[in-house]
Amino acid sequence: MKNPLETPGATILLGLVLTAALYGALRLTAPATVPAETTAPGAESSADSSAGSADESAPAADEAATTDAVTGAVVEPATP
Amino acid sequence: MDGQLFGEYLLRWLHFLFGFTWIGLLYYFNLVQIPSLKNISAEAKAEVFKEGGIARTALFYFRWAAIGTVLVGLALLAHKGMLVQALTLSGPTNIRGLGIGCWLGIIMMLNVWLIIWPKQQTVLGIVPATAEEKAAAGRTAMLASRTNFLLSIPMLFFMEAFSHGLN
Repeated sequence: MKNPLETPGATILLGLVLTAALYGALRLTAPATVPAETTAPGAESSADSSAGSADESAPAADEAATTDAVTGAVVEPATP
Repeated sequence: MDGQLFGEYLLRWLHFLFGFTWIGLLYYFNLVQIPSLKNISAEAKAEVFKEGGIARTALFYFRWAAIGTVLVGLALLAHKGMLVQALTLSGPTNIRGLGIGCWLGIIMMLNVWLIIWPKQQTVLGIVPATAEEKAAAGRTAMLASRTNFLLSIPMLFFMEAFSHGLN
């Protein structure tokens, strides 16, 4: 069998295979991430709860008075 | 722009200048010069290898660009405070990936200075040798250069992938 380093084409193919193998090894040896907390149906974890409150606060923030970027004047949110 | 950021840009720019010169010449050797030398006459080959000829000039920039690339690359990592994590392949995936690229680059630079250049000195006649010794040195230098060509493919992937969006 011919040495693959004898020809540039075979060397490039071997390089691509080596790249894939090293990337696979890097992914396989990645530090384990902490799994998401599992909770019983109906129950709410503290993380979920805080996430929910953050989500709920978003519309309130949108509705708060803001400053007009051009004039600098305080713009009050429209009331229904 | 603060001094820290300016230093990072300067080192990155120098790293690219040295790196493109090194890898560009590596690809020239492997894709152009080595295949072409098989098809030229002994007289033409002597012209390529003579003092001031194409091969010696290319090898000069090739070996000094190699050491410049690695030294500036290590300085860049130290400047960013990532040198130890990269070289010990520890920390987050992007730094470990960069570390793989670093080690491949370091191995390639050592290959240039410890194998390719000494063997090329024999091939070029800088070191006195018989025709058989020159032929053997030429084959070893070619295989070492092809090994660097092979390693450059994952090296470039790991150097750039994680700073351009891959997680």
